[in-house]
Amino acid sequence: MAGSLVLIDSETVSSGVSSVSLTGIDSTYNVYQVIINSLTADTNSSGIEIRVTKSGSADTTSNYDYASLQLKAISAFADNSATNGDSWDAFNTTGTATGSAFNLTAYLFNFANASEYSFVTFEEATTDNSVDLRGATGGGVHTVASASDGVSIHLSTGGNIDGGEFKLYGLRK
Amino acid sequence: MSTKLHFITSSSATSVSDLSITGCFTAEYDNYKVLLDDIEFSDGDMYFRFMNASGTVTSASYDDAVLLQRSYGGFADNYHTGQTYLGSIGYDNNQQGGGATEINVYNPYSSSLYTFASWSNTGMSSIGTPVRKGIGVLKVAESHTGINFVGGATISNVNARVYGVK
Repeated sequence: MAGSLVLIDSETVSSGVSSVSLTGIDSTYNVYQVIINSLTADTNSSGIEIRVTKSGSADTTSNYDYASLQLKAISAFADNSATNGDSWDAFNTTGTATGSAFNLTAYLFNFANASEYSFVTFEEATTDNSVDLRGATGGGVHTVASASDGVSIHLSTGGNIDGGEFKLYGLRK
Repeated sequence: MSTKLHFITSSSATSVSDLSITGCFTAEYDNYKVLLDDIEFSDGDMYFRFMNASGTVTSASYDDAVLLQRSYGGFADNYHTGQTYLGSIGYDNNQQGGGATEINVYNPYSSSLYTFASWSNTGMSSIGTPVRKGIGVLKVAESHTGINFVGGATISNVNARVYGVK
């Protein structure tokens, strides 16, 4: 496994930004990995939402489907799904309390293929406003047969992302 | 172009109550991948904990949520707060050699952030396979430099490898 993960793009956020984009996906690799480490928000109950980018710009059209299972440390788990949304909003909320943070590992498939849809699988571990542990495991698809060159991350509340490390890797063929 | 998944260390043990890997988390990486390809018990679950820079196992303040999927029965939501460990990350009562666990660890070395983990596991029992997807957090903002695998029974065999993701 060593030697097969190649860093494509990275962003370190230390003050408020409305969104973070990771780009550089092309046909060099078939599968890409995204790791988000300790995303913090300036607004409570901020759901993390992800869109694909086309030529560097987030695609806001309503073509995002997903299905996930929400895992919680404080209550029974819950199914979460949607079709034709304007983002993958499959992820849990975080907030401003000390210890609140969002962490994600996702794999991106077929993004560079202009004749196929863009697919994602993901697992997430987050602490919310109350610093309760929540997470999700699932997948999604962007049902547009055109090439995607990255992902864009923003908050459902319209608030700012205050911190975090964001990385995009290619998995060597 | 440099590659970003780096092997750090590996460790294995036979007939032990727990296995510690010290010094594997450093300031060099924020994210780690831990793989276990051997988890064997006569009958037991594997759990894990983090160790601080003094080599002390942190044994409190763990919250987790684990989906248990069984090839031989219904699925179950297992969730806890204020535990002494995270998991289960694997079960075996067959000693057939193997088991498969992948753990992603976030921020273990940071002294200001909580340490998060997510994991996937396929285990082995005499009546089928238990499969787990889990998440966890250690709610202690302290630098952790090691990981400790502890069995719910004597661990017959365990093998673990740690990678850093740059």
